[in-house]
Amino acid sequence: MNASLVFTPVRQLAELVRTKQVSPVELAKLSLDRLEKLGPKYNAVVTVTPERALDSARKAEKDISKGNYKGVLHGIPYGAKDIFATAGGIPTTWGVAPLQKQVFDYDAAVIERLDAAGAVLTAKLSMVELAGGAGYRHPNASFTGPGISPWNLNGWSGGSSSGSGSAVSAGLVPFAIGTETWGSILCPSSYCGVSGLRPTYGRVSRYGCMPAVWSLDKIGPFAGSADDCGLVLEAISGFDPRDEGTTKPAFKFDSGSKKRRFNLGLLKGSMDSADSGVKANLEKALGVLEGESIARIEEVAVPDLPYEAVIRTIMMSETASAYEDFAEAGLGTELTAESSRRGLYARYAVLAGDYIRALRIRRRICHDIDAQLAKYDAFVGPSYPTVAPPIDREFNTAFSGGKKRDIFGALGNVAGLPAIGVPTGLGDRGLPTGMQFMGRVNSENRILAIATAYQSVTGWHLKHPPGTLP
Amino acid sequence: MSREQDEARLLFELLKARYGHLLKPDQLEEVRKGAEQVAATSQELRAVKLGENDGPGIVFEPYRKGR
Repeated sequence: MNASLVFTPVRQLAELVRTKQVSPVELAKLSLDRLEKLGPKYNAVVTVTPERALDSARKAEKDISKGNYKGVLHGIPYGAKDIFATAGGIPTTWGVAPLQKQVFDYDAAVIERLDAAGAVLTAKLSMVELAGGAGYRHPNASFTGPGISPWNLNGWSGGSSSGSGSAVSAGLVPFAIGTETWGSILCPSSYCGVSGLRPTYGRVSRYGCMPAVWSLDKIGPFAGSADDCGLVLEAISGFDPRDEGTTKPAFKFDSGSKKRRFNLGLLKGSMDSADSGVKANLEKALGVLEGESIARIEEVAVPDLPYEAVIRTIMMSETASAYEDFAEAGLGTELTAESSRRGLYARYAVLAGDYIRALRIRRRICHDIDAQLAKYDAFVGPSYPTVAPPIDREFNTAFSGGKKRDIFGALGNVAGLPAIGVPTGLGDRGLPTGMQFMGRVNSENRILAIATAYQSVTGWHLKHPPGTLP
Repeated sequence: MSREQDEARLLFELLKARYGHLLKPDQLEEVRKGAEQVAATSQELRAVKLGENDGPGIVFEPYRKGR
């Protein structure tokens, strides 16, 4: 088995599988081996799933040999955040110590869809406890330990989809599935130096996914490139009557979008609180976009509204209900991080009137931002304002000037907008930085085309962390 | 004591009444800080002027099986 397949893009792997140059069983074994050997180094894995993986891989191999090729994900290994229910006795822990033995007797919708596409689940990946919905201030907020960025073993992988980011970055799986409420895909994709796609709210069914914030939760892929993210999103998207938040029609990836010059709006102030490395690399990336005639860029201002207060209030109110049984049973006191324990209980202080007020402001934000975005192909800005903080530091103290603001992430998630994060280089302590393109509702093809155009003239997405190459 | 501080104090009392039996004194102190953050966040929201047509965007759908 050629170990260089570890970082081969999904699209190329698919062609090798389709033409029977590479066996799905051998691919699954390669992924399982790396998950077992390297997964613990990054605290990336909760459960490796060899039985299920080899059964699926053997079935894929048989089907393909008979000429029943299902498409680009057929026979391709992947990892899923441990937030998704999986049948067959495989635990689903939600990153929570007292739930380490929790099992479900069904697969989440996203696992069903990937199964139908012939993809091979090789691991359940680590995450921040309760997907960060309890509030947390330290990287150690998971019973599997702090997620670690493969680029620097003292750097956090980001969260809450910690293992999804690090497993793709370290070449343990060709792609992974994560979720985002506020930053949980864009942050780890940036901290781990991979591509991460947050789809439009409602694109992907959350049936069987831990409920946290019904009006904000979204499911999306991590992969080595924007192109691969598009392939995966097509496989997992679509209406599902079991999730009333899903929308029609399903996403159809148009990878052949004609090249043209895009109009991008650079959000005014989005770099104000960014690290020097994030800012410098973003400026270089913007220079590439303009220099290569990929984009025209102009600064754009958004209305002065309390974006972070709105999303925080919605998150606290909805999680207060989602976690009520958990909190009432006293399980909150068994969460790993002290900050999660107190955060879980403080949310019951949000008043109903303030929640409704946040929703009213949210509606205004949706209209205002859409009116602004209508003038552009996308907004551009940092994926996350910082590089990864050290794994032993509280977020508030990890950066000069204290906590960093994430207005871009707040408004994008409040408005349910799609965004793709791509790596732009390395910053402080050799840690990756990222840039995001955020578009209008259901404009994934547009933002993927911009990101793909950027990646066609740069090589940051092709760089791999030290010690991960076979 | 400012109105925000007063509100934070009352919110904390509510939390203490509901969950005080589950939490140790140091955890309760952290919950108190959380209540202060909730009160501060509420002030930010209440500073936004909203009009009568600024609804919350929630659509209630009455249910009838099969329709």
